[in-house]
Amino acid sequence: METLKLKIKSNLKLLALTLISVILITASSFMSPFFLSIGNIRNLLVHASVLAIMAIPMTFTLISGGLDLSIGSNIAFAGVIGFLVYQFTGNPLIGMIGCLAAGGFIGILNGIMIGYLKINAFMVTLAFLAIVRGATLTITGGRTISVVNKTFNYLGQGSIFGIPVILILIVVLYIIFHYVLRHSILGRSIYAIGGNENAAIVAGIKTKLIILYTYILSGMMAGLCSIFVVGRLSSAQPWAGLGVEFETIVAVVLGGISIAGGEGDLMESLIGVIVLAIILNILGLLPISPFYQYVAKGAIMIGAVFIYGRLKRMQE
Amino acid sequence: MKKSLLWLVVVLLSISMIAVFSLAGCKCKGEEAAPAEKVTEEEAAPAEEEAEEPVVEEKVVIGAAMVDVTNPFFVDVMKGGDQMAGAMNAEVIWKSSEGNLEKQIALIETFIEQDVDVIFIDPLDPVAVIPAIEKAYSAGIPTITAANLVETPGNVSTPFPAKAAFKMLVDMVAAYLDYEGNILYSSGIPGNWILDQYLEGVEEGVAQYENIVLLDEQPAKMDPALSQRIMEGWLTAYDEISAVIFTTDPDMYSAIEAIKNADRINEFPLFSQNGDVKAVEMIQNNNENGVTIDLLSGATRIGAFNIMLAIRLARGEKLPDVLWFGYLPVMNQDTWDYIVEKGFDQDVEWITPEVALEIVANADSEFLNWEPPAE
Repeated sequence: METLKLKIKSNLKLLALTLISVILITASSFMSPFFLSIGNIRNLLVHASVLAIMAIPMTFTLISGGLDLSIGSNIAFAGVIGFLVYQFTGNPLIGMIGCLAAGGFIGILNGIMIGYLKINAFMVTLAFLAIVRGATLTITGGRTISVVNKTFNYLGQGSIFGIPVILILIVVLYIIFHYVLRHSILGRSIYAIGGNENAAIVAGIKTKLIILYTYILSGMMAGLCSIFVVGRLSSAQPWAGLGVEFETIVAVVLGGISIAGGEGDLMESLIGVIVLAIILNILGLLPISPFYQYVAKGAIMIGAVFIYGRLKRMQE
Repeated sequence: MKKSLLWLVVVLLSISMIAVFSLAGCKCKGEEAAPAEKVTEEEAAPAEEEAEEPVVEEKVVIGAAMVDVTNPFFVDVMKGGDQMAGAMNAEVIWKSSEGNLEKQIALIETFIEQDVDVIFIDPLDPVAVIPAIEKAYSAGIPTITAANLVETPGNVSTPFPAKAAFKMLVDMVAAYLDYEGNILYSSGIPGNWILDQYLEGVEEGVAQYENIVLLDEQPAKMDPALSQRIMEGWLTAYDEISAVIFTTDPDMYSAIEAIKNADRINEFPLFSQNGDVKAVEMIQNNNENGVTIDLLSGATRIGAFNIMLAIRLARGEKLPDVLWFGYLPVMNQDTWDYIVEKGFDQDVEWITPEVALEIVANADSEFLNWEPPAE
């Protein structure tokens, strides 16, 4: 019983998040008869795919004490560049690699400025939010680019035994990166940097390199998202990813990741994504005025964060 | 010990609740279909016997995926749509895409899942939205797309001849300026199809005239605050301004404040699009603040027209695939006489401010007995 008590206490945050999810699912199924339909669950999960993917690198960067606000713009940029590469080479697979490379390139720029030049992460990534979006609009002239290749669009439209490919990929990514964060030297280094960067340096951790890695990961995940988004919309959109950075931060913070850095868990972020996805889905299902939705979204989030805050104090 | 037991109880209760409410909340479409069919068969015989009784139109539920709802233009679209829905026994579920195409696709998919009777879309991208419309078509839900030409089975488009309208507006402006002068254009959101069409219309229009120069074009993104800042910049940069064209009336109002603050009001004429009551009244008041011509699309009219069509589609009526929703230039008689005198010779249906105000005030009654044009 003592062991159980200890286990519950040490996982209070996770339990609280699970409880919030359960309450939300219960209430949502009561509020809308469509909420628990197979079709709606499928929609909910697919609609949350970008959020789920970007929560991975956002968790990494936040735990390391950083932040990446450029992910939304990067999704649009990577999609456009990837398409241009495909158009130039005629090979959709190379085009998809182009998406990852373009996203990773922005990540490298972020990582060098933040990790090596020690410029504030908020300012750097905010600047790149504007620069990258502007570059995308300049390249495309503000126009949508149609992409009709089945291979290129597979991630956004394909399914295996009825399960969207993107959902299978997300499960795999979470397994891999949960292991990396919790059980690898890289993961432990990220926690150390986020906890106390100076102490990490003294301990011999190559902090600049680790920070660079986190932003490259962020960029490449944005590139991966761009492949999904292009596939889903059958087009490269210059305004794709609008607002993704805000929603991703809300999701991971809702999951309990501290903006101060040094603590958090990828599974908590995942639950935060699920909670936010449920909120957005139920607001879409209910016939409430779109004006009230802005209020409702914020109120529900404050409620969830308040509960988590109280529970964290209880834990301490 | 007590606390841990409490947690355990809470978790167990929650799981029980979810099981109970799931059974209560989840309604399979298959289960619902059988009773409905049964009712139809039972009612068929009595319906034949009571043929003289008036038929009450079944309530129609419309899912509306809007581009945005924070801009006053879209607020008026919703207002007009709600007026029409009220008059025709329908309910509109308005949702905002917040300017995000992925969100708009997600909204359409959610409406399909909710099995609404018809989906009304103001598409951010007329091509990218097609797959989602095809899904709706497969699910037996008709769609109607406003402001854009979206050619796909099961969809009715109500496009604006946006490019042609703004090209025509430039022709009017050119005549008004006697074919010489410097024009500024406060454009919309780059990448939004219809707003890009407006820009193309302006550029093509200006290109026709040797002595008409498009000094600058800046995207105000349908943001009045941004429009004001753009106007302030122009007033600082340019001494010689002959005319300013705006994408939408709310952008023009905030720009007027900037012009007033710079003490340059009435120095040059203003031209816009929307047919907003305030703008029309300015024209009526002797071109107050320089507002000279406004293209009436009328946000409330757009809402009323499209919702009327959506309701009729949902009730099984066959409509043409494309129904053009035209603009009506609003100006005083003096202005019309003047531009005609200067050489404007297009056969255009225009209206006075008085007629415009009447049209805008009665948006729902204008379309209540609308009939599609003869083929």
